[in-house]
Amino acid sequence: MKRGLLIDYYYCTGCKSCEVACAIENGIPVGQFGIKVEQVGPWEYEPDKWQLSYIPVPTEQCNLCEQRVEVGKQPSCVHNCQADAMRYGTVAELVEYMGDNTRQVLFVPETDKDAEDVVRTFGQPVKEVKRENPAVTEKETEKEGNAMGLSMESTIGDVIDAGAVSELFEKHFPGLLADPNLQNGAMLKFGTFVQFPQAAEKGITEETLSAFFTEANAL
Amino acid sequence: MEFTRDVDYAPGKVPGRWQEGDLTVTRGHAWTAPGCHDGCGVLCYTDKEGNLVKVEGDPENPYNQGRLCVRCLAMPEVIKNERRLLHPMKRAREFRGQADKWEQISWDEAYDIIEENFNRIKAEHGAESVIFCWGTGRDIGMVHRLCFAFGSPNLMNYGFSGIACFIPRMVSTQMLQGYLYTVDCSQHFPNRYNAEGYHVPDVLLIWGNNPLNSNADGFYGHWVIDCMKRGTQIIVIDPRVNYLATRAKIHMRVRPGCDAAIALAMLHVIIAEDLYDHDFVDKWCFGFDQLAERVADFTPAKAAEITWVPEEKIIAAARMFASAERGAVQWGLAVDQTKYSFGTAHAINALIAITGNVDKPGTMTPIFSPFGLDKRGSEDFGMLAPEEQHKRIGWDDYPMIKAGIPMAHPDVADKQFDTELPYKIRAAWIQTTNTIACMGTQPRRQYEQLRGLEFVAGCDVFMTPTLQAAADVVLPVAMWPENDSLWIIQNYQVAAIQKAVEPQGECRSDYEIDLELGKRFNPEAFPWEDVRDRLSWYLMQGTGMTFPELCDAGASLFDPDQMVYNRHEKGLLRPDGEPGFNTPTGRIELYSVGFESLGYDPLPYFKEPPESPVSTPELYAEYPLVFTSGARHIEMFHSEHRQVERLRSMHPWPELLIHPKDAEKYGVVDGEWVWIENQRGKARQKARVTPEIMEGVVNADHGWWYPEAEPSEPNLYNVWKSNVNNMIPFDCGESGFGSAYKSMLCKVYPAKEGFADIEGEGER
Repeated sequence: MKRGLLIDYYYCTGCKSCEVACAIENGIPVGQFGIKVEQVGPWEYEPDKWQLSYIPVPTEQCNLCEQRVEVGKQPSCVHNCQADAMRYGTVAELVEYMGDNTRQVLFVPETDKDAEDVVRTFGQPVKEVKRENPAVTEKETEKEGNAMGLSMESTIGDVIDAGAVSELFEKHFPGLLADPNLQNGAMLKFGTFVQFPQAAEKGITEETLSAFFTEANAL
Repeated sequence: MEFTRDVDYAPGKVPGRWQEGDLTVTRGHAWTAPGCHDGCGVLCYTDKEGNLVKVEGDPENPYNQGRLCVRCLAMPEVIKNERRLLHPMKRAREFRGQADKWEQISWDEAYDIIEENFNRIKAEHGAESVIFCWGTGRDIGMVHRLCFAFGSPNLMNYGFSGIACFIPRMVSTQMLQGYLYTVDCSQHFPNRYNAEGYHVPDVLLIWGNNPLNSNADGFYGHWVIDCMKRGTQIIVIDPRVNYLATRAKIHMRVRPGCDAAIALAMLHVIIAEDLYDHDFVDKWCFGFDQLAERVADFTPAKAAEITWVPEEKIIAAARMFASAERGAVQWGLAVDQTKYSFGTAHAINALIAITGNVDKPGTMTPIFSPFGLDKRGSEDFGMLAPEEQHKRIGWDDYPMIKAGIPMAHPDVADKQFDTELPYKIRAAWIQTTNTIACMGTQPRRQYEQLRGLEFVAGCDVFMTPTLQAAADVVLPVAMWPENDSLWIIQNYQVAAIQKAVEPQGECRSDYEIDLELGKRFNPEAFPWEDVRDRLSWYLMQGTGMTFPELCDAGASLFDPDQMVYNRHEKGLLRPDGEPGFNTPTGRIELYSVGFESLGYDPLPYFKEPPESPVSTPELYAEYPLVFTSGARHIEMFHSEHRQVERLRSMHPWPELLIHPKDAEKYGVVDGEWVWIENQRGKARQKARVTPEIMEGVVNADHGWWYPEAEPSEPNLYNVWKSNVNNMIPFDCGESGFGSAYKSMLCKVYPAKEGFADIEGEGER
């Protein structure tokens, strides 16, 4: 499955964080690049209308950070992108993500092997690789095999895009997966979320969650 | 609000340090050194040998949400830079300016020399004859204490006319509104933009700065992009066409120094068209009628003539801002770097006030200290007896530096070096500030002044032209991954800067140096064993946590009490607990009683810059371009980072931006060196011919020197060759604040004699 980088060149500000993050991550010397920001403009093509774009272009030295995605991280450029204008994923996912949006470009660098699927969306800078206390993480790893070992310590992100678990969540809490409040709060733990007043309004309580966890963990 | 600190950072839930394969990851925050105005959440990766391998943004930190700029990303290379100062050094006074005369010494010997000299001068001439100079955007809050505990009232931004960066905005806002405020980008909430009750600004004015590069104190510039993605529309006021300007609904290319005229004309439109917030003005503002009268004849047509901005744009901007349910202004250096900074700041403050864009979600929200902690400066100033405080340079000249801003006045100090009245300045402590290369006005004067002192000691991460020229003792400063500290600039978060690697060489942090020197001067004022002891003592007062506990708890703590709107209605802004604002009238002062009592104009005003096409037509005939400087670049902080190859490669030489039509007129070729000159001095930079800058205006880089060049005199790293402050006068506003760094006149012509003396010298 081919993977790539989707870049929004309306929001790319040309800050070059991708250039440096990539170079340090991959040991690329000064003067060479794994990804390089190109500037187009500025020029005034009509009174008061200006062309100015920045477009990060991956090079032959880009391997889509295989060493990072293998362990569940984003490529270094995507992780550190200040404008959060880059997204990594399979080409199919990225094409779907492009949807009706304009001013986007999809790069598909050639790498040695496929990488694990990690998704991060535009406009949702907080949804990222989560790192918990090692003790908690280990516990969750042990339970791998039956989905995720969901508990109040799990995050909302754990049920988003999680196949059967997502479907089950949808069954318990119809419509909520699409709720922007949940989508954007992917890093929140359920245990924290239930304390918010809006959680109860959305039908999320310790009881309803507990019922959902039981069913999900039995999958 | 229900959102408390346990959302992301409940103690123990998120670790402060963990192992990933062979690498150790340390969670913390970045600050300085080298300089920065922000404190992003970072993850530092170190290997078994203790080397810093990489730095990444901390995705679980609400402040920067995993993102990071190039200066932190390059830290592994910055730390290992071969030009770093690694050991304390001394040099005999007669060898000042000679790079080959330094002799490595121990910390003890260095401290002994500093202690002996400062105490001798104090005993013979009084502590006030020693000045303490400090740089901007640095983790050196302890220098307050060092200075005052030593007994000198003279802590200062030495050489910086009008203290023209943020201080003018700060002081005037404090006077007019009774607090400081910032654009509400949800930074108070750990869950940020999703916080209940939060809404992004509908319209954001980006005024006289490029936040994406400048990242002002506690304001992460790319929050503007976050807001744009969530619906914020922006208006940009800037002579340059930068990224934000091209994404703006309205871009006003203003003649530098004339921002107040735009603000007054916008006020005119908003009042004349009855677009202001009647309810808010009636209840919470003072002096609306006088303001209305003041702006009655300041029409957009008049402003257009002054500012070179089309009239219809000013009208459209006024209507757009006034009709927004939530409006906010991200203002910048352009407000400060005019002689009439108070008039400008007052006008923009009034614009914010009469549109009711205060203390509500997505508007301008007040800033206080988290857990009541950040009171270092003023507390420490109380250590001086009143008669000692009165010896502060500028005490009788500028009343506003008596309260709130405990700093000596640079313009008065400049004169005092000549007059030696009321006393002679004899020694200086120079803490991570590079005056002659960076912000010093007429930097040759500071060079001569420092050279004439009896004793000069300083510290920095790299040898600077300033220290090379004048220092007798130099101490090496650690960088932020090498030290423990705290970042408490904003009101909502206490953030630990956690040591991830051992310092290179014998480097020690600014904080540590101040603590150790302080013990030498005045042990009672420094009862802490070491930096961690002091940090814990400080933290305990507000949070009940020690520094190690904070680190273990994920290095960050949000103050739930700060996530509050409408404080003015709830009586949370005034010490007496009454509703209203903490000003003499209890309201936001459109007409300032405070300014009036000090003899300043009580209303917003515009005055032509002291040298401009209008105020000095004869000068303009000879110097036909408006000159501005001070714009920030993401890859370098002021005069720093010039020695870091990866960052320097992004911006190898100082650039003068000039419009193609002007370039043609004055024979300037893109990429070639040019002279920028006025009646006071000149500097050489590389021309970049671009429509990015408006016609009739040139924009020069500041802070340039060349670490690769000859370090000894007379070259001093070629510090005099490209320094645009050669052209700036000491000429601050009547309040003592603001200076015309950004609005001078100049001419530009090709540097026919070539540039080998700059470009060809030394290896980079």
